[in-house]
Formats: sequence, C-alpha cells, structure tokens
Amino acid sequence: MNQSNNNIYDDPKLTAYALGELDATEAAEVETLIADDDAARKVVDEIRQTAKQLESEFADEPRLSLNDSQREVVKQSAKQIPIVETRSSFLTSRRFWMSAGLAAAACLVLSLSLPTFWEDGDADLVVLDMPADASVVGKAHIKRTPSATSLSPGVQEEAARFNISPMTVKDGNGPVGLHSVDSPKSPTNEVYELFKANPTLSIRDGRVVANDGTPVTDYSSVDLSVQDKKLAKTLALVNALRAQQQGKNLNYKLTGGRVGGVAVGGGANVGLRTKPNSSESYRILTGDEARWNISGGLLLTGDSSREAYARIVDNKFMRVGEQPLSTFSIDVDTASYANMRRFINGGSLPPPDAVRIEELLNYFNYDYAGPTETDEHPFATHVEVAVCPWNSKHRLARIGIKGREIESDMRPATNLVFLLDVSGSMNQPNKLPLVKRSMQLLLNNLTVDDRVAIVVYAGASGLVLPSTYCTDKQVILSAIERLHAGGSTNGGAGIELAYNTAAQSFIEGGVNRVILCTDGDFNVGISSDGDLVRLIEEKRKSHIFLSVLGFGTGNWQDSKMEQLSNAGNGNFAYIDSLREANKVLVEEMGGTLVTIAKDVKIQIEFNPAVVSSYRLIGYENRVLAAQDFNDDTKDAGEIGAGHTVTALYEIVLVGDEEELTIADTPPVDDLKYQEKVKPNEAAKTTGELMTVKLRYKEPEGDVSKLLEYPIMDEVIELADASADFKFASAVASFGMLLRGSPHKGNATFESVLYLARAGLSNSSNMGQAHRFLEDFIHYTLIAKPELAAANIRALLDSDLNDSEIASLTNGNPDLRDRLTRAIVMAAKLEGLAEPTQELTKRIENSRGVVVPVNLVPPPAKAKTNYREEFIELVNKAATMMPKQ
Amino acid sequence: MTDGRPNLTIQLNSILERYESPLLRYAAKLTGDVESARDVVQDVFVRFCEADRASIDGRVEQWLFTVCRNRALDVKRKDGRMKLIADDKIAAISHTTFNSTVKAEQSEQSQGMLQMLSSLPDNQQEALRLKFDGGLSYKAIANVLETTPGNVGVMIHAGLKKLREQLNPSENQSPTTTANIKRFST
Repeated sequence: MNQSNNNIYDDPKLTAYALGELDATEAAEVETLIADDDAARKVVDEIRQTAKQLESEFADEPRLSLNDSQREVVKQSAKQIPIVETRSSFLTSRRFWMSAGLAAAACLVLSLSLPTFWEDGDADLVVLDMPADASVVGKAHIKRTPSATSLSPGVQEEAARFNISPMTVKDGNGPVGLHSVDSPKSPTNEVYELFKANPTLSIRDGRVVANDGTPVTDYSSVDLSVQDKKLAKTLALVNALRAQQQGKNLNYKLTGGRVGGVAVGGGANVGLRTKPNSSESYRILTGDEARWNISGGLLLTGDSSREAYARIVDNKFMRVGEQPLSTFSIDVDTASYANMRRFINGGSLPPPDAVRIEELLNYFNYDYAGPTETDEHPFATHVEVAVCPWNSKHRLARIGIKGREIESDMRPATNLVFLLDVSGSMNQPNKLPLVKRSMQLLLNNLTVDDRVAIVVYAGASGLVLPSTYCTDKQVILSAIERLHAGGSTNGGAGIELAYNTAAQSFIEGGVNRVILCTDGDFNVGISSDGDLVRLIEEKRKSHIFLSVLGFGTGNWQDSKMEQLSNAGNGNFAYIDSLREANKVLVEEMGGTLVTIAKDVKIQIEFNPAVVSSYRLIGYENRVLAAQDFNDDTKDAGEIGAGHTVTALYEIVLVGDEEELTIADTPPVDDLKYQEKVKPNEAAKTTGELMTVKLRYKEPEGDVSKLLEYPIMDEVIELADASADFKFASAVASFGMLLRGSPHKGNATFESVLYLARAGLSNSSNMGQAHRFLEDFIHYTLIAKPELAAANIRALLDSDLNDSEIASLTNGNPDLRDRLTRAIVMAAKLEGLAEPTQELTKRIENSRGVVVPVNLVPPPAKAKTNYREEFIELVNKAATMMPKQ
Repeated sequence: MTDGRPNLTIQLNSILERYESPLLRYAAKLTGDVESARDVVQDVFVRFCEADRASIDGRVEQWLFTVCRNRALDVKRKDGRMKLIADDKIAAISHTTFNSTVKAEQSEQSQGMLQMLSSLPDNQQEALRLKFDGGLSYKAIANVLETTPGNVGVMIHAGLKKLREQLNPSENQSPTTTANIKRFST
C-alpha cells in the first residue's frame, strides 16, 4: 500500500471521479493515481454500487403525483400567454435579456422579456448588458446557440446576479458608433458594443470607462447615426432601458417592427423617436417631447409585467344632430384611484389605461344632499353647469347622485363570506397581512346580528371559518389570525364554496355578500373566465352579491376584477393601505355592503338648439346604447347606501366657431331619402340645455323607475361654481393629464392646483381635498420636477395664508416630506431659490415644520444647460423617492 | 412565426413525467407534509410555464429544484413546521402503497437504505437526493443549495461513505483495509 495514496480513499475527489463529476483533466489525474491501486479501484466500484443502489431506491420510492385539479392548473398555464394580453402578433420566442447595472440607487427591472426588433436573421437570444454608470449604451449580444461562452469578471458577476445566460464581452477601446466585436462574425455569435460617438471611451470588465480608467457618468443625450438597421434598433431599445434605469420607468410602448418608445416616470420623461426624414437614426427625447403616442404597440411593464389593463380610448365629442342621446351605466368603483396612487407612491406614472377617470371622480365624496325622509326615491340627483375650466368656450355639466344614508343601527343584518386568496403571491406585507388587518377593521364595526365566514383558496380551497355570528368575534378574529399564504391559485372551486356557504347562512332581507380579496392572480382552474362570470351572474339572481377588494402589486388583473364585480352587482375597490381599508370598509361600509338601488342608468337628451356637441368624461366601458336605457334586462351599476356618483359632460354650444371641427369624426352626409331632424318648438322655447333621465330598480325589484330633470341653460362663471364642482373638475383634469387625454385642453398642473384648492374651502370635504393635493404634489414630482417648483410658486402666489399652507402638512409627515422635496427642487432652479426660502420660512413660522435641507441658492452661473440641470434634478428626485 | 406555446405543452409533459415525483418527494422532505408539497410543486410548474424560456433552457432541472426548494422553504417558514417529515411516515407511505409491487428483499433493503439516509445530516441527505433522485450535477446542486461545487462534493462523498459503511457492517471502516469485501450480497 502506497502511503501517498492513503488519502485518496477518503478524498471527495475520488467520489467525484466515481460519479463522473470530474472534468477530463482531473479525471485523468485520478486515473493515473489509482492505476495500480486495487484498493482504490475497489472503493471506486463501491461508490458506484452504492450510488446505483441509492438511485434505484429513490426511484422505487412511492411515486407522488399532483392532484388532478393541480395538474390541470399547470397544464392550463402552459397554454396561457404569460405576460400581458396586449402582445402583438410579432412576438416571437426570441428574447431580450438585459442586465441592468449595479447602480446603487437604481430600483431596476432586472429582466424583461421583449420582442426583438430583428426583422431578419434568426437570433435565439439577445443579451443586453448595460453598465449603469456609462454613457455607452451597452452591448448587444446575439447568440445563436446556447453554448457557454466566456465572461469577463464584472459581467460574470452581473450575469449571475441577474440570472442571464452567458455572454461574451470584450474589453477594448471603442471606435465611433457601433462596432461588431467579432470580426468576421462567427456563425454562432455576434457581439456588438454600442458606443457613444466618442473614441475616448472604452469598456473594461463590462463597464465603460474613460481613458484614464474612471467610470463614465455622463448622461447627456446622444445623437446617433448608425448604418446598421438592426443595431440602430437595439440601440434605441437600450437607450430606453437606460432611461428606465435613470427614472425607474415601468412603461414601454414599442411598435411592431419599428422602434419607438415611451418611457415615462421617475422624474424622467425619456423616449426615443426616429429623426424626421430618416428612418435609421434615433434620438433620445426628454420632457414633453417624449410623450408621444404609438398605436397598435405593445405595452410592457417592468416589475408589474403581469399587470393587465384593458385599453381605454377617451370618449369622443358627439354631434347632437347625429347622437342626441348619451346613455351610460353608473359606476361607483374607486379602484383606479388607489391603484394610480400606488404607482405614484412607487415613483412612476400609471399606464394610461390604468386610469379610469370616473373612478377617480367617484373616489371622492361630494357634498350632495341626500334624498329627504319623504322622498320616494332612494337617491337624490343634482346637476350643476358652469364654464368648463379647461376650455372657457365650453360648458361643463356635472351630474351628481347621492344615495340615501343608512344609519349603522338601521343597517340590515349582514351575512358576509370572505373569499381570500392565500396563494403564495399573497405573501407580501401589502397583501395578506393587509387583508387581515382590513378584516379586523371591518369586524370591529359588525354587530351581533351579522355573521362572517371565511373561505380560502390556493392550491386547494377550503372553509376556514364556517358562518359565525359576531357574538363570537374572538372566534372570527383568531381564524383571521391563523391565515397564511402558500400554494398557487385556483379560484374556481373557492368561489363556488363561498357562494354555497353564503347560501347556507342566507339572511332574508339582509345583506348577503361574498367579498373576494385577491391580488388578482385569479386562476380559475378548469373553468374559463366566461364560466366564472356566468356563475357570478347566476348567483346574483339569488341575491348574493360579490364585492372585489384588490390588494398588492405586480400581478394586478384590473380588467378581470372589474368584470367580476360588475357581474356580481358588486363594487370593486383597490386597497393599498390601511387608510384605504378604513375608507372602504368602515367609513363607507354602508355603501360597500348595502345596495339601495340597482341597474342605475343615466340618459341625457341634449337640446340641439343649444348644444352642438358633447363628450362624456370617463365611463368609457360603461357607455350603453340608447335603447338599453328602457330595457330592464340590461344590467347596469349599483348604488350603495350613502354613495355619491359623479359624471361630467363637456358641452360645446351652438355658435361656437369650433363646433364644426371639435368632433373627432367628420360629419356624415345629409340623408338623401329623409329629412334631417330639426329642432322642435320645445327646443327653441324652453331654454333648456338638456334633460337628465335616470332609471333604477329597487334592490329586490325587477321593474325600473324613471326620473327626469330638465336643466336650464344658464351661464355660470367658473368662479361662481360650487367648491365641489371645482374640486371634481380638478380630479377630472388630473385624470386627463395622467391619461394624456387629447381633450385635456388647457388643463395644467397649475389649473389642477387652483381647482383643487377650492376643495379645501369646503369644510366637509377638506380632508379628502388634502389627500388629493398630497397625491397631486407627489405626481408633479414624478411627472415634472420643475413643476413642483411651479407649484411652490403657485403656493406663494396663492391667497392661502401661512397656516393654510402649513396645514397641508398637518400631522402628516409623508406630505411634509413631499413638500420638502418640492422645495428642494424649487430651490435648485434658477430664480426660485429665494421665493422657496421665503415659503420655507413661512411654513416654519406658522407651524414649526422643520425643512431638513440646506437651502443654499445655487451659485450664479452662465445660462446652464437646462437638460443637464434637469437630469441632475431627476436623479436627485429618484434618490429621494420613497421606496415602495 | 411561432410563439413557442405549443412546444411548451410538449416540454411540460415530459418534464412532469420525469420530475413530478422527485420534486414532490423533495418538497415533502423539506416541508414535512405531502399536501404542502403538492401546492409547492404545482406552483413550481406554473412558474415554469410562465418563466422566460431563456432563463430555463439548458438547465431545466436546476431551475426546477431551485424554485422548488425556495418555495418549500417559504412554506415551511410560514407554517412554522421546522422539522423534517418523520421518516417513518415516508416509510409508511412506501409500505402501504408499494409493498405489493416491490420484492420483499428490495423493500427491506429500501427501508434500510432510507433509514440510513435519514441518519445523515440534513444537508447530506438533501445533496444525495438532488444527485440521485433529481439527477443533478454537482454544479447544479451547488446552485440549488447556494454553495460551491466543492462543498457539494464533500457532502456527497461523506454521505455515500456513511451509507457504504452501514451497508457493509462487516467491512473495516478504514478505507485502507485490504479485506475481501462482499458488497450488497448479505
């Protein structure tokens, strides 16, 4: 026995050798070592025998299988398209992978799948590597086979970190423009370094450095003219991604085959477009320029890549001569506002399709009087018309409906079944834990006549708490406490169980409602969406209604949730915070739980003698055909106790010179065989602007009742309009700005601020006006930092006194922080340092608010490069944005 | 152009065939209960369907076991079930469902082997399972367990050695022995 060989018997290397885990060189070494060592070879044999036996023992273990329903869920998901519904047909199996750089402050999307722009060639995989601190746009790597290639250390690290496939990155000095690393191109690999037109830069370890080795941090815009179409497109995309890095953008719209991009958010509005008269060169855009529309494109969101929003196209102006009737279903949903706020608080703008203006409007309560005790109808209707704030030639008509309040002790007994999504995706602080706390809040407000059951669904669904009277609140509370998330979602079985539970504990004449709490990953298992909607509609007939409460981010299936709640005569709210839970489940509990009128429809008949055209603001997916109004079989929205509903019409008057061009569509020809309908006597003599008609059914009724309100044509100046009117128009303006609506007219940040301040003067709604201003200021920080400064100036110029300004921060450190940020930005802008200091002083004097920043005015300098300044501000803002 | 979905269904079927049971057993080991394991594994496959192919292709099994492990550990943490499944439970499952189809001798040995396995440290058990049930390479195991291939080599070596020794009680435990060894024939 050779002493030197002794250690080999107990060397992991020998085991690795026996199991074939060594590479050729090492294996050869071991073989040499044990060549004439019988014992060692025996050990190898033994190891192999043991391994073989172990393998077969494992194989002989009982075969475990998924349940049939689980297997079905899996198989379904193989068929579903995983990203967003709006994929266009040019999507291929090719992938872009990008590795974002390691910038400390960047809150990045680490991987996205994007369609490639390669129109020719057959790349399988594209890897983009983007040094965050580089002006160089990165490397495009086209890889035709999945075989491993070498990595430079820096990139290797990033590749491992971001889970991307191996790629080749070569160090070297960069010539101008784009440059193919492999020359000649190998058949399997094409690697490109994408350089700014600057020969002094080079790539070292995957990072871009200047010749002296310092990392490049220049973010100035780059005009690139490139010859290679493919690369130009890559480049454009990389630039968009870089914009994303800078601004934490979540939105991309990319056209099929063509490069185009809108990258919005995080303070940066950066996009790309082709230069005029040139299809091959691209320019980085900033600011307003960047916000351009691309139709038929692809919506991809970053970490929210599974969020899906149905497309919304703003209602158009309609000619009264052609469409004298406007009909829609009311909607009391509020989810869009809270969802929008979630985006803004996270430092980005919501995708336009996530903004439903009617939900923004209805998020807020207005000071409408409810119906009197003796009123036969369960709600009161208020119409107010004044000059339109964003187009002084137009009128804005506001239709407000207020449902009868129900005192909490008059509230009918309530039978609630919570249907909770406890799938793995709910295991985040803003999901299941928030659901639990929300339920606890609601429970505090339920009485002994009420009963609660809890059904959960995940991999399997089950009844966690049978229907329990609130006399046993402790039992309910501890059931809530025990909830935990895990498994994946199968909502189909859960929803049936929930309805069955509700049916078993049905309270005659009471409120019977299933409340679905989910993050939207509502996997219906074997049943289709259509089946699910039918199920919910079926159950609605047995007077069990459905409400949907949405939680969390990243997975939000907005359109599906709204569809479900609509089918179930329910409401749909998005809960992003405990405060929101309190609003929906406690403050507005009556409305959330008790329906006082159902299938409420509104129809407006415009007087052609006065009105030339009109536009319904929002309610895009609630528009009904004129004949549906009198059709009692057509489903429409519900009003809950105490709910307010607000709808706005923008009205163009006859004689307005714009009237012929304002409509979005050309007029139809006059009819050959019929006479054009002419205004009748009533039109000419009544002096009415329009007639508002409403239809509704009692909650248990099947026949609708009709209400009619003629509205006189009077000129009311905006200044004389009610505070509520102004506030509602502020909210609508905000919505139009967020949506980039073509009809936003003169709506601006300043006008929203001006209008919203009216809400502050209305004592009963001051709290919500504050909240709106708070969100709005935050929005201005994201959308346009320099306009935060404009807001500061507007605040200074306003007639708000010091304590009113200070009251914006009343007891709310979050708002104070945001104001502080606006102040910081304003202080940095030329000419604003002084007024900002003045404002700060006023706030401090008034409330002792500490503004923890050093407000040293910037040194006087020659006219600065505005762009640089802007980007600096944006970067600064990005670091100051609160993490979500 | 194809969007690759039909291929996914085909790929999924073969992967279910090969990995469903090993993943479930692995997850059951980690979570300590078969039902949780089913939830976990369903989730693994759903994610598999939704994940970007580029992140998976070429290293499917590593991906599956990594996701499975992370999900299982999440579940375990959440449920506070910190102990591994009692091994007699697994053995019991083995007995009731498989006795009739497995030769008595094999069954005995199987039980012996499983019992021996359960006497090993957790990390060795896990590595051995990934290696011999999952069929993963050292490198893949290292990625799943977030350690180095060298370390995996040590764990598997130590585990196999212990099993060898226990299977061959007559054998002198010194690896330097030259005694004539009758393996697996007792």
